Amino acid sequence: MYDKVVVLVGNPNTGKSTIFNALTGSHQHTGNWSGKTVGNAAGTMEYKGTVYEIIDLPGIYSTNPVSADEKCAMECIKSGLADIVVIVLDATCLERNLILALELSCLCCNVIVCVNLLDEAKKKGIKVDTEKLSELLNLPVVAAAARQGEGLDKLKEEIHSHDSSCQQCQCSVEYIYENCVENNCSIFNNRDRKIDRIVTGRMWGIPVMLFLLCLILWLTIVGTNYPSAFLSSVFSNIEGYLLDIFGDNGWFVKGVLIEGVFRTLSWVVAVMLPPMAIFFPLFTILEDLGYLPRIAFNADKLFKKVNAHSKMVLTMCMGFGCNAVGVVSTRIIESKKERLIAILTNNFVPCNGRFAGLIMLASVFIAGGVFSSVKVTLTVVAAIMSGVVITLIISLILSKTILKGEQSSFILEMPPYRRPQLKSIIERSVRERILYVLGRAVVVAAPAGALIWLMQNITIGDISLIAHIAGFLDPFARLMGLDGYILTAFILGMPANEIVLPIVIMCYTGNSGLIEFENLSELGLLLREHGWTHITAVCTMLFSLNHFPCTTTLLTVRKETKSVKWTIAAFIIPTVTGILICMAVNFLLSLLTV
Amino acid sequence: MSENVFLSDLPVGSSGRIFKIEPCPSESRLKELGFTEGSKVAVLHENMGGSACAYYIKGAVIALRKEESRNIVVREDYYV
Repeated sequence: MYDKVVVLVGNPNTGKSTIFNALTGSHQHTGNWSGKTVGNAAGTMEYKGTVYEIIDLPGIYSTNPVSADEKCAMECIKSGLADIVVIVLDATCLERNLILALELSCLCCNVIVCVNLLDEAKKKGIKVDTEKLSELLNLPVVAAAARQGEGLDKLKEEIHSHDSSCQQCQCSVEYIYENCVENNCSIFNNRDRKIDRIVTGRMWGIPVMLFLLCLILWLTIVGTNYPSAFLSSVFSNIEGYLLDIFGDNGWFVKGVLIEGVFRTLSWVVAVMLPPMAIFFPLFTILEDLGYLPRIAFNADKLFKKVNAHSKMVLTMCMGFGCNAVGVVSTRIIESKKERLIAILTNNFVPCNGRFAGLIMLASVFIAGGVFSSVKVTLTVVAAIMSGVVITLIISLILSKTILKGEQSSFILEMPPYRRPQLKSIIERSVRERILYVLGRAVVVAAPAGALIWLMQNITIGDISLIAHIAGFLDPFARLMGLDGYILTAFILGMPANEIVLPIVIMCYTGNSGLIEFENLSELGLLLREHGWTHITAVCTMLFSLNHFPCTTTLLTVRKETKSVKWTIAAFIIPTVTGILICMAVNFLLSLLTV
Repeated sequence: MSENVFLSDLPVGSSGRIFKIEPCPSESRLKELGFTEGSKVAVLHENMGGSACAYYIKGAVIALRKEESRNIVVREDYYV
């Protein structure tokens, strides 16, 4: 239980979540762009014997909310839940931040102002006189640089010693700004503008974007091979020992537990975990730098052409990590129709789990020869780009048919470039990728492994259950360039996409004992033995990009749209697209190879 | 050199003072973002395709589509 509720409010990207994490010891996601936090987060802080509930709100520009995340923040402010309101201001951008601060100080009692990012302001040549600010605002003001941990003790003390008060400020924003801030910041010639001229320029914007994408993919691909091979040999050794010790303990231990559960787990961890664990932190570095809104800016023309909102770029980027997160992040899109387009198309961006599968397939089938890793990288980039193209096409179709409507405005704040917080990125990656994937492996992959072993070993009329199912799906799957087992794996992998390829491998290895590989291309031998060709690999990659979302994502769509109809649409649209594309590609490629 | 132009017509690298904002759906959002009468605004750079442009306003960099910046009337006051 807590004694008092403290709410953190302010403009987007002023560091509320960073302050929240520092006060509560939580690990709320932070990122350098407006709209990173889309829901309320709560945590507790104990200070001098009092327990405070701290609530971190999505950023708002004013007390008139436009988008879903802002509405959520305003509801909390207006509910009167807060005993103390901490208004977080960005020192580099005080003139605008003060507009909201004054509005809020009229609306709320017990306000503390926290001027954050003072370190950044100092670097830019902006001086803020916080004492004068406190005097003019008639409110307590704390100076802080939350990323460096400065001023947080003062903030805690201020929260603790705050007496209830209801002051109203009589000054205008301009008056306060002119009296408290000394601004020697040059507009056109600072570092950020120089970077922007290249990164968002007409000429270099798109090449830089593709280069960065290739770079982080290449690093992931090169970095994946060694840990994958290492983990694989460790696991197959352990499996050997386990079989030596428990091999005679009957079908349940040897079959279900070791050959089913353990082997599936080891495939998920050895093959899927390394790319997921490497890609995620690299991508987060781009996010922390402040690059993501620049992509939206670069791509605005394209999205404008298909009647979609450019903020969709941001939600697509979040989809790279996890489509469920991507769907939630669409709250930043104000217009309901454009938001639905973003929700329905988010699945065309491969999430971390599918993306690891793409890397694996590309490594298995494309690798070899000179520039092996470059070829693999380009293949995966091509796959991702095809996902983007499909997103644009589907958005256009949706906006011309069931989601017709006016295009809403595009107003997007470009954050200053910031140095990534490497320590917290690594911590976050370990916690959310490695531990999360391991957790999912236990919850989802383990039962799936047991199920598959049983399906392989329960026979009806001399044929195993899984062979029956695969046989049933096979004719249809062949049309799509897949086989029955692959399609079965996609269906069984619905709870978590990272188990799809491990299931395929499980199906092929059957009871044939261990396989261990020294690099990923050796896995290719196994797949080729089971009839895989380049066409199979391409179609599997395409179907991985375009198929029904995982159950978590579907449940999230249901929650965000509050509609069964749209949830069904989110299932059907990518599935039908995937089936059609796979059939077409299979048909065309087969013609070419005959 | 002081006549009223739309912000969308102001060349990159120049700056001006906002004179007024025409009534439009995003009027209030623009004001909340600092595009208020009398504020200084600088034109930073256009994106690829020229559908949007980045502006410096009150310490922040905000990207607007042409459809938005067309509603902002500025008085071009000096070149930097």
